Amino acid sequence: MNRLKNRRPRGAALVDILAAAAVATAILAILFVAPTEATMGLAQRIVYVHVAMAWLGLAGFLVMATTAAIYLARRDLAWDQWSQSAAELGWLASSLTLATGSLWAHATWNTWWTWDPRLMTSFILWAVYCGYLLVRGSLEEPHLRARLAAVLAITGVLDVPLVIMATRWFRGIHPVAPKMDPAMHGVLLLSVAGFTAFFALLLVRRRAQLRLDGLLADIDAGGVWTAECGADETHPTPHTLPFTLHLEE
Amino acid sequence: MFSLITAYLLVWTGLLLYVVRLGAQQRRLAQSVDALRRQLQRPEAAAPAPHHSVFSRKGALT
Repeated sequence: MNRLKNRRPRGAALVDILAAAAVATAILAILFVAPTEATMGLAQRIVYVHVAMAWLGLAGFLVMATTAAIYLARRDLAWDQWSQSAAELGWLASSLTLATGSLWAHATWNTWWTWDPRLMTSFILWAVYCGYLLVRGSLEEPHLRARLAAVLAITGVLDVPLVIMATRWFRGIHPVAPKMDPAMHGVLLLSVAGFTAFFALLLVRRRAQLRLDGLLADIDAGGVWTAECGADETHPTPHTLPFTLHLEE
Repeated sequence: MFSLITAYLLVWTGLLLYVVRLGAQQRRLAQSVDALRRQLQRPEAAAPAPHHSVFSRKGALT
């Protein structure tokens, strides 16, 4: 038997290369393909990362809330690990959305911040992300932590449609969906796709870490485990994780 | 121009910090697994272990 395996998942290198290529293509397109906007000039190019980050902030929240709901239904911590991974990346994307948006606002509206409905709902989304991560960080017991975090995620997801529809439902100064040059539109889509691929890769990697962390914590807690090592196994590398450990009843 | 450069710097710094943190976490986990593997390979690991051992309840590896 060889239960403590140290294998690199098949196709892992290919996925890494594809994600890196997607982001690199997006950057090159932003720099060399996207035309410069007539009135805003170079500052308009902020929109290619701002929109991509905003989309990832919202998508991260949806993934977080969906996996949290599945956790509540099944009480399986694997879903909570997906939820945590999505929350961390979503928080990062949401923070970058606010930062890049603020820089864009300064360049176009001559103000760093205004209480526009879209900005306000986006800020609330970021605050819920912060609350979610703070709750997680303050609790030790895995299931209690997962339950409370899931409730917060499911409640907070109500803000997602408000963020999306804020520019249509309420009066504000944030652009609704401005008409763009086809080349600009293409670059924007490429940027969104590239960053999405990269974040998806990070999501999978982070979840693999959390899974292994959970397994090691279980072993440390003195659970009944069996595991074996092969003599020919090499030192673990980031690509060889997670290991497969089997619980014996 | 200032806004554009700052925005892209922020995005890349944010992503870089996250990836660095992920790498540090990965190294920590690899060390833990390595320590566990060494413990498993020791002959005495098969003997009944003291209560604080990670295999204390079972006391033996199969």
